[in-house]
Amino acid sequence: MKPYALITGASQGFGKAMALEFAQRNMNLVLVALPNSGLSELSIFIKQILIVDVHYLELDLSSIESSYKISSYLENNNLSIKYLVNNAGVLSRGFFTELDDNYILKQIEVNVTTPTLLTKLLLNNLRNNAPSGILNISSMASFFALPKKQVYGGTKAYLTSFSRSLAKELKQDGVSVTIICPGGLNTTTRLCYQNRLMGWITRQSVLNPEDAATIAVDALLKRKTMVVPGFINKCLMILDKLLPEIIKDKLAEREINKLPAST
Amino acid sequence: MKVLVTGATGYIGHQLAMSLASKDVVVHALCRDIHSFKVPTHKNIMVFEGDLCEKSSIEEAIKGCDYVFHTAAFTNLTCKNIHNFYQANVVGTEHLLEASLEQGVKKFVFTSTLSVYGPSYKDIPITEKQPRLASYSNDYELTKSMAEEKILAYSKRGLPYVILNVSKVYGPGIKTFSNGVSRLIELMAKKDILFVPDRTEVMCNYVYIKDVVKAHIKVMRLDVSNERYIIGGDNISYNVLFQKIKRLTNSKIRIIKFNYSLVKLGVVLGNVFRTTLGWPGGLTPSVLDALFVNRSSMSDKARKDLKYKATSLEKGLNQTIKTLKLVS
Repeated sequence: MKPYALITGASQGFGKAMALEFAQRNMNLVLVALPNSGLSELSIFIKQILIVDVHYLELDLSSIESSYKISSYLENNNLSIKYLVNNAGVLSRGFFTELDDNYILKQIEVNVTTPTLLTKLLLNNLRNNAPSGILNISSMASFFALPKKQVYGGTKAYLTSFSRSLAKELKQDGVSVTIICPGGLNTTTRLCYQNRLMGWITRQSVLNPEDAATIAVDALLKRKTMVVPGFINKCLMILDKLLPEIIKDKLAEREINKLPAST
Repeated sequence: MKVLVTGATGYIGHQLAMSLASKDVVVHALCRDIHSFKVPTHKNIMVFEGDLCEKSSIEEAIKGCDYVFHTAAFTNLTCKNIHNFYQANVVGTEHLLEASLEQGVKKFVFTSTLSVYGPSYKDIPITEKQPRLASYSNDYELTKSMAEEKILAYSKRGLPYVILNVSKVYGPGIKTFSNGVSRLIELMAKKDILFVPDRTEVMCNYVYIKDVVKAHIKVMRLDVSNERYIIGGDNISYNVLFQKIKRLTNSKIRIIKFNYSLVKLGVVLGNVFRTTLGWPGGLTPSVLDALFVNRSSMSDKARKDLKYKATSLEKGLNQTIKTLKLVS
C-alpha cells in the first residue's frame, strides 16, 4: 500500500497548496484542519479528481487532545505515515499589549505544543517507514525582530531551533527533518490584500503558495535541513547579516506601518 | 415590488434593470452620474444619484426595496492600483450589505464571476464544489472573492443571499471592459489580420447576456437563498470560437499565432515602457495569463434548482452579430 503524507492546517493557504502538491506527486493523504474550513470539499475533490486516497480529520489543534486523536486514528486505520507536515499555525495580529491572553496561549498551543507533540506521537510510525521525513513550516519571522510579530516570531524561532536539533538526533533512524522559512505568502484574501499594499521589494518577495509548496516538497524529498524559498528572500537573509541594525530597523518599521489597522 | 439595482449603467445591470422594469417591477437604480447616456430609462425605473463608497448616499435609494441586485463592480483589469478595486468591490459591497441588513432586504443577489474559482483543473469543468486551486491572479478576482466573504459574514447576521458566478458574458449591450467577445467580433469583421498568442486550445465558458439577466430574475422569484450558482453556457476553445465568428461574419481574416512567451515578454516590455513614460495602463502580463487559462465550467446546479437553460453559443453569437450590424 502507498504510504501517506499527513498535513495539518490543510484546508486553506499553504497547507492546501501542499496537499495538492503531494497529491499531484501521487501520494496518499491524511489531512487535518478546523471544522467548517472547507476541508471535506477539498478532500473529496482531491480524492475524485487526483485519484489518491484521502483521509480527513476536522480537529482544533489548539487542544492537546487533538494530537492524541490523530495518533489513535492512524493506529486504528493502520495508516503508514511517510511524511509529516506540521503546517497549522496561528498568525500574528498586532501589538503585544493589545493582544488577548487567550489568543496568545492558543498561538503557542498551535504553533509550538502541537507540532512538538505530534512529532513525538508519530515518530515510531515514521521510523517504521524510513526513509521518511518531517517538514516543519516556520517563517522568516523566526530570524528577524519585528514589531507586531513578537509571539508569532518567537514560536517560529522555537520551531526552527527544534527542527535543526531534531534533525541531528533522527538522522540515524532515517527520518529527515526539514524546516522551511517562507516570507510573505499570498494565502488568505486578507493577506493577499496586505501584500499588495507593501513596497516594491516586499511585493516582489511575496510568493504564491503553490510555488512555495513545490519548493517545500522538493526540499523534503531531498532531505534538506533548511530552505528559504524565493530569490529575494535569500538576498534578504544575506543583507540581514551585512546591514547595520539601525538601517534594518528603519526598513522594518516602514513596511510594518503599511499594514492596515488590524481588524 | 421594489428592487434596488446597482451598476445600472453597466453591461449586465443596464439590461437587468430594463428587464425588471418591463415586468412591472419598480427599479431603484443607483448611479454615480445620473446624466450618463448609459442610464436606463423606463417609466418603472427611478434613478438615484449616489456612490457605493459613501454609505449615506445608498440609504435613500434602498428605502422600501424588497430585493437588492448588486451588479456594480470595478472591472478594469488594466488598472494597476488595487485601491480602485478595493474601494468599489469590497468597501462598496460592505456599505450595501450594511444598508440591506438595516432595511430588512429579503434577498441580496450578488453578481460575481466564475474567476473566483480560479482556473479549472486540467480539462475538468469547474463546479460550485471546486475549491480554489491556485492563488488570485489579479486584483479583480481577489476583491470579488473578498466581497463574497463579506456576503457570507452578513448572511450569518441574517441577510439572505444568492451569489451568481457568471462566466464570460457576451451579447448585445453597452460596451464595457466586461464585453470582450463583442469587441472580438467587431475586430474580426473589420480587420484583415488578427494576431493571437498560440495558446488557442485554452477552453473557456461563454454565457449569453440574456441568460444571465434571466438567472438574476429567477433567483429573486424562486425560493432559493444562501446558495451560489455558476451561470454559464458552452465550453469551447479559442480556436473554435475564432472559427465560429469567422464563419458567422463571413470574415476573411487571417489569424496569425505567436509564441505565448514572446507575446508575454512583449507585454512586459510594453508595460515598462508605459510606466516609464507615465502613460495609462494597457494589457498586463497578469491579464494575459488570466485570459489564456482553462476555465470551463458546468451549470448543473443552476439547471436543477433554477430550471436554468443556456442559449447555445451558435445562436447567441448569431443574434449578437445581427445586433452589432444594426448598430454600425
